Amino acid sequence: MSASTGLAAILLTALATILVGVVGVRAARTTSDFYVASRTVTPWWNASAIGGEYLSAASFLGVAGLVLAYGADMLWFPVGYTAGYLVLLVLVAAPLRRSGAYTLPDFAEARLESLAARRTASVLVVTIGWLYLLPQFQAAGLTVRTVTGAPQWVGPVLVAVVVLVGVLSGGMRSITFVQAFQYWLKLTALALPAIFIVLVWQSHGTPSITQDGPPVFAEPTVVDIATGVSVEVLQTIAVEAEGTVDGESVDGPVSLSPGSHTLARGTQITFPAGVQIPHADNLTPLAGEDWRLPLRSASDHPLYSTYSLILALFFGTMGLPHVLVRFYTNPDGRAARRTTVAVLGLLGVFYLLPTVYGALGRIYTPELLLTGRTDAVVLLLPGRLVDGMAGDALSALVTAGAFAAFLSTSSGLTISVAGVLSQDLIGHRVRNPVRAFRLGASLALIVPIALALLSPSLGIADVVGLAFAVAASSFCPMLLLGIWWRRLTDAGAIAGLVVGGGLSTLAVLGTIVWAPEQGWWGPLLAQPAAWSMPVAFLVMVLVSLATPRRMAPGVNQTMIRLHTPESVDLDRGTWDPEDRWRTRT
Amino acid sequence: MDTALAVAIGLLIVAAGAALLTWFVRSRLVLGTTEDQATYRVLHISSLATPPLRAGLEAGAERAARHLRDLLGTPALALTDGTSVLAWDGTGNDAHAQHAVSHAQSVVRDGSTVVLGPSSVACTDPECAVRHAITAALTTEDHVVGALTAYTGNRPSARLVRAVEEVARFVSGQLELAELDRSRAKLAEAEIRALRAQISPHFIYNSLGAIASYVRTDPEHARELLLEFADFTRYSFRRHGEFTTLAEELRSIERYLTLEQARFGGRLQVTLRVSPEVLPVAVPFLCLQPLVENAVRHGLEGRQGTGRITIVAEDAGNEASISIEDDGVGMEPERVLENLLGEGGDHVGLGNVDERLRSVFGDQHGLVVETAPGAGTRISLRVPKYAPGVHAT
Amino acid sequence: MDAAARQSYWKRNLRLMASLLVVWALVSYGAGILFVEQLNTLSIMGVPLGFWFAQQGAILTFLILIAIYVWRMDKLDQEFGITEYEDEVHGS
Repeated sequence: MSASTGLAAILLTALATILVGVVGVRAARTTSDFYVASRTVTPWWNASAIGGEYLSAASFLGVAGLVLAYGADMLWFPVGYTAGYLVLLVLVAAPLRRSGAYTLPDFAEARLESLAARRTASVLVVTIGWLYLLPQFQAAGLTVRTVTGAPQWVGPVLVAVVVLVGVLSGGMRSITFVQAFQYWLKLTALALPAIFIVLVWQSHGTPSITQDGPPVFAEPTVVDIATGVSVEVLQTIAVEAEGTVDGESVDGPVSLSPGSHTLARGTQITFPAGVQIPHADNLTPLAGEDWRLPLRSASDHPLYSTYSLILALFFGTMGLPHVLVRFYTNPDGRAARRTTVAVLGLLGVFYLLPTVYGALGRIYTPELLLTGRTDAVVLLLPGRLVDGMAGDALSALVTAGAFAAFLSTSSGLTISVAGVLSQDLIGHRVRNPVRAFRLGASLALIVPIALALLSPSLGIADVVGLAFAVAASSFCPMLLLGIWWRRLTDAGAIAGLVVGGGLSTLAVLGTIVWAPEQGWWGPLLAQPAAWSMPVAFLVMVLVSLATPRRMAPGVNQTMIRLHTPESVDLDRGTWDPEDRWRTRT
Repeated sequence: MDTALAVAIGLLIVAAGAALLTWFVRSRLVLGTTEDQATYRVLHISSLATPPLRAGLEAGAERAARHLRDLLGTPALALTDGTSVLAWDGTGNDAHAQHAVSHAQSVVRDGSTVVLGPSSVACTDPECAVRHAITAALTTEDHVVGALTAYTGNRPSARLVRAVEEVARFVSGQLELAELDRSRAKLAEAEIRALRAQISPHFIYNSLGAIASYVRTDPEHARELLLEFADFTRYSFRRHGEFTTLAEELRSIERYLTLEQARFGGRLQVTLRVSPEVLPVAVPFLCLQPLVENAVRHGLEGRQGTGRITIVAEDAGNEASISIEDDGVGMEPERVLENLLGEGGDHVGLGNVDERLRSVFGDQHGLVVETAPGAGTRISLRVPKYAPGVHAT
Repeated sequence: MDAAARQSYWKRNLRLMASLLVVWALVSYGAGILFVEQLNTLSIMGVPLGFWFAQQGAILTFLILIAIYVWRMDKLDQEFGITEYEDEVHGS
């Protein structure tokens, strides 16, 4: 695909996003029929909006990349992303709505009646928000570079500018319609090319996805190294290279002996057919049997890792700052329940697709294992399999979908983080709330951009998984205990938030900075939820029991409000003229 | 990757270092001498004790007791209300707390400070640090509402007695403010009640007149209007709850506008633009109704053609932004100010709404009125999506 | 709704939640991991897709669980006369 087509797709998505925001507000303008009820968002729209906001870069690009490298185990990501909604719906959604809290810090304040608890929750919301925004920006950089060849920083800056324009110009005043539009764009962008890809694969005589033994190049392949990479070669291979290998300038045949080799940026390597593919050092891709069967990952403790990941994804969903807000758009509990069914249906349909890309990527884009950029498989596959104009169009569509994913998730997160930042953390310095919100939005974007440009490139879905782990070890205990256990005190909640959030954040940093591979440390740090979440629960319960006097004075009233359906105690008086008339007609 | 990592770690270390340095320098340079620091300490502790006390003696005693004891530095401290112990902080909870009421008895009766010796305070445990007591009265508006008792091991010095009296005076001041808060809330409640009863008789008369005119020509429409009227009055006379959702408030306004449209026919054009995101926001009961009534009156008063009213409710970060606009005759800004201050006779509603918004959400959330003679009127308000203690019922 | 009715509403609500969560936990923590070997014996077009089906099946199970929850809660609400906003508006 030419760079200009890709750029056009990206710009078009950005423009459409802003337009829908503006037009969506306009469309709500009528003169004759002005019932508020007609303004409430139907469960279907709402579900589309939740899906749109929720399906981030991790779902659109990351899952396919992980499946490409690690196979069956990675299917837990889509399952986890959807399973969290059940807990969210059954245990949290309705009481939280009734609490009147719009954000997680609001809930902390409403339930615990403590400003300190509110502040702690605010800091955590910002931490999780930034941790979740980071991979969105990294993915944007990857996409722009893959599609147009522009430098890494262009993507994040582009996304940030569009989001900032949207948020600050008021284009997000009615964000529901924007997000709903994004869901359908994403689904189309992934589904349409997938159909073509599967058709082409069948026309090739459905070559097997899982060869025996490690992956090899099926045909002579030329690989351009876009960023310097260090690769692991397993058996001596002879290749043609032009550029810099292991720090030496080469131009011609080179023999790569087993071990680690560095390939500098701009190097071009031609692999003959049948050669085993060297893989990037930071990947340990699986081969053959191991790839298609679960619990065969290269780490020492696959069962622990799998359970921990599941735990993080299942219980982290409720602690994501941008997910809960969407449920407020439902007029009542019943609509909220319907919305959740629709959300799960929409997500289920969407998650059928990344697996297809990941699996077929093993046949058609195996060089991604070498460059380590497995996240790009969704972007490359359509152009690789479909030739000519059609291929260009499909690539452009996928690119547009990817950008929709970055834009929707980033705007939702930015608004949530900016809201918390402006209200709790910079609100007392900047008095004007509008200015404070703008400042908050800028801050919400600048920090993760800086992190995205500075930090090493990690798997997109991996980092998102870590954000889930932090959410599961901090907000999940606070929400569950806060809603279902009346003896939770502010001291207990704060202690649990700090310990759980702190430990899991440290583990996240440990994985990013240290990345131990051997023994128990690797899985324990890479998947902290299985231990940090119980610890957080334990700390909250124990500290709460130790500080019974700090129970919020209004806890009884709060609990009753949380658990009584909205309309139950609405005293309408004994005089009800409607009733009489309605029964008569 | 390694350089990026090094840079990231470096930045982290620099940031941590900078934070540490700032803290160190501030604590050294800004806080000053030990005397100054002692003063700051006392001010800080009293500021900690203030919020619980502002909730009232009964509600806040337990949380405040700890800070008050910090302030005095005694081994134990009790707050009583004359009949029961509200809070005991410090040692000797088991043996002494139940006697705190009797220690405070004479103080609650006549209001003067009393110092008690071991004969009436001490227990059998010779190690116990609770042997002497100083009790001072807590008063609001000259009524004794409770007592503050500080317990010491040794005979209390005159200075300590003085300190206890000063702390009791500080607590009394806060309790008086709490009392003020409560009466203000009561006043606001009374105002809503007044507002509820204030549905204009003109409106009732005119609506019924308009409905009557349809009874023969279009009985179905007349029936619908009657139902709207019934719903509208039911909502407006609702007896409980200081707050409601924006959705409820807007629905009531729709009914009101339907009735007004029936009366004015095509002369009244209404545009509603509402973002669904803000519908569940809690707002003070009947806070928009008077504004819309005002807009209808101004949009149609003294003119023959059509009047246009635009009501907008939008999402704006942490707030919902609501505006009501008419293209009518406008007002003199001075008159608006009078109305807002509650001095003008004909627009009591505006001042009332403004007052209530300010008392619930704070002074930065009052009404903003933009108007000039002949230029129409636009009234806007910003409501926080969440405010502690504000729940729609 | 009086106190007794609220109590019984509440109890049935809790029972429903508990049973759904038990199924949920069994499906998500058990099926995908414990039945791995059995699932892998299933194969389609030479590729053992059993595990993949288990994942999609899990998502489907969650969907069904939520649907059941919605249906039961609606019935429960109706039984106890809880009409909510939506209903009121459409009914008027």
